[in-house]
Amino acid sequence: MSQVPTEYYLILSAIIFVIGALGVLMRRNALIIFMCVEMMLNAVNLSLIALAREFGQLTGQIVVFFVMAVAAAEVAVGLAILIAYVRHRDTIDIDEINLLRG
Amino acid sequence: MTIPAIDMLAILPQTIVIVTALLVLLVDAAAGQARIDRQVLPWLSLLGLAAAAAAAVWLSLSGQPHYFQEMAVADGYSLTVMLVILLTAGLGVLLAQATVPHISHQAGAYYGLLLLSAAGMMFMGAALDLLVVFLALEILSLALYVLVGFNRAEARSAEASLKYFLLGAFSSGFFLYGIALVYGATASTNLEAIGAALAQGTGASASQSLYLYAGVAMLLIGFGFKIAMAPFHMWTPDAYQGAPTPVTGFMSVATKAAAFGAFMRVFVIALPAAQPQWSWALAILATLTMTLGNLAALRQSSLKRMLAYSSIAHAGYALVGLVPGTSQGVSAVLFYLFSYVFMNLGAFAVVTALERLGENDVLNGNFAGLADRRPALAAAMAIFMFSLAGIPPFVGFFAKFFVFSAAMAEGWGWLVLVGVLNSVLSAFYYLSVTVQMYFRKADETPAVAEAAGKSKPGLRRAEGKGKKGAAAPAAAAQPAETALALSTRSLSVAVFIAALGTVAVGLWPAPWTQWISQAVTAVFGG
Repeated sequence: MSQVPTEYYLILSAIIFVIGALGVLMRRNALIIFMCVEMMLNAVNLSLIALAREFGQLTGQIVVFFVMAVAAAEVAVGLAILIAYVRHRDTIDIDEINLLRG
Repeated sequence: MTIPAIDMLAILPQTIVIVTALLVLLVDAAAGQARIDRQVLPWLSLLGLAAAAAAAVWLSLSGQPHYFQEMAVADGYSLTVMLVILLTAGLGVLLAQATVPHISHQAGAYYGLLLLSAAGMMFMGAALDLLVVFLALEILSLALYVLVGFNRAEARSAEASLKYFLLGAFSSGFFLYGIALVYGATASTNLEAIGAALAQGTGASASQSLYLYAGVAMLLIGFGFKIAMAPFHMWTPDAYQGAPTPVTGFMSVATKAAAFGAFMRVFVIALPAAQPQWSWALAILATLTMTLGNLAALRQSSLKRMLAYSSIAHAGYALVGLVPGTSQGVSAVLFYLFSYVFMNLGAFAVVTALERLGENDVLNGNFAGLADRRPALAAAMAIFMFSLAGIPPFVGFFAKFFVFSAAMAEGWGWLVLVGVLNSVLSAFYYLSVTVQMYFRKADETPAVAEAAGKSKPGLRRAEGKGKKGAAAPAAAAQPAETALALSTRSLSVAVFIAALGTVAVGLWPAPWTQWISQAVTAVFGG
């Protein structure tokens, strides 16, 4: 049975990571930026799983579990911060987030 | 099959801090019913921090390193980083006592988050595995994101929190990808295993070296964000200015100490094989960081923003010590971080003392004539400014001296020259604060009005107040009572400890450098 080479997974993961990073840099909506960050983390998870399978180790997979837990905690804190901000300014467009400058 | 024994002593100081954090939250929750005065919370936090510090000292006196399953370690190096962080957290609690009651009713959450963040920072210094570095980074960051936005009534605090959060989460994505790539190159996340694999020639093949160098670059970005290294420093001025000042003081010092603690262990222990490459990268980034930080600090009218840019510049000076990758350099950086606690936290303590209630910022002009109104505070501020500028006999001079001589020993002469020139540049804005305090009269309101007039839209609130002051000189003639509004005894104690440390460690640096270099040599070798 033929197998998909590990490199393919790594390349796919790199592409998803770059899409996520570009999204963070180019999108203007804080919520979408936040989703792009989550996409970056999940791209890394794909790499880790592929590498763990390549090496026949558990290490990579265990790291993924921790990353998922961290991502969940990040969502909880991040959305709370976003709501706290919206209560003040009523916008999440990052071009409007400009009280602090200089 | 047996379950391996776990040496819990290895994480004793962190455990004490975490348990204290949970206790603080519990006491806060029970305080209403049990009629406990919430004033005990900061004292409870200080008690926990002192107990953790005692545990750390006890562990380091016992000599043997304690390993926590090859994941974390309590050795001389990590315990020194921990002690620096505990000292910072203790001073941070003292600072907070003056401000927290004015900005929030949730004192328990404040101290709880501060302690949890400190625990994460302590794990940074102790981490032996990239996974633990990542988890510690997230623990400290998540708590700090919330602390930065702790002033719920202030839009700028929420904005600082949002910016810090978005960029921090972005950077942790890079850091994680760095871990994955280094894992791909070496098949391990353990720092010593990575170092051993690279020394044996793993990572030499084309694909492996691609993973390795891309991974090292990503790790550099991740650490760079946390220590505020240019060009990843954009969040720093905004987060530092918007955050409540006690939080700014705490995070500017402790985050740097923690991030450098892990940074140095990862790069010197795990990645010495790539050292020629990362040394050059760090040298260029250090140059950029120092220069950008100092140039931007020169043209700030808000003192907090000026100190934020100055802390970027100081990250650059500390990076100079890491460039050679020697144990001499590592101990120099550790001493730098130790001395930075006193001078920088002291400066932020003075800013806290001067803030007008609810304004959360001090403009440079508000310093005029401070020496007449509050001579002790002005003297302390002068000490901190001289020390930050690197003028002997204060501790900042020796910190810079050790860092630069470590770089000089490995032939980084041009980098040292850049550092020295930058120190001269930085003296301008540090000394201008001192000049204002001692040689301007308080009733020369133009200084305030001018600073406010020049300020950017970001300082709209402060600007409004400044203009009011200019229109009605009578109001500006009594700045003393507004300046006194926030000061309390614990704040004075914090300023005193910081000033004492700045002077005393500067006059007797030998015992401290000896302790640090002993601890570092035991871990990093020769």
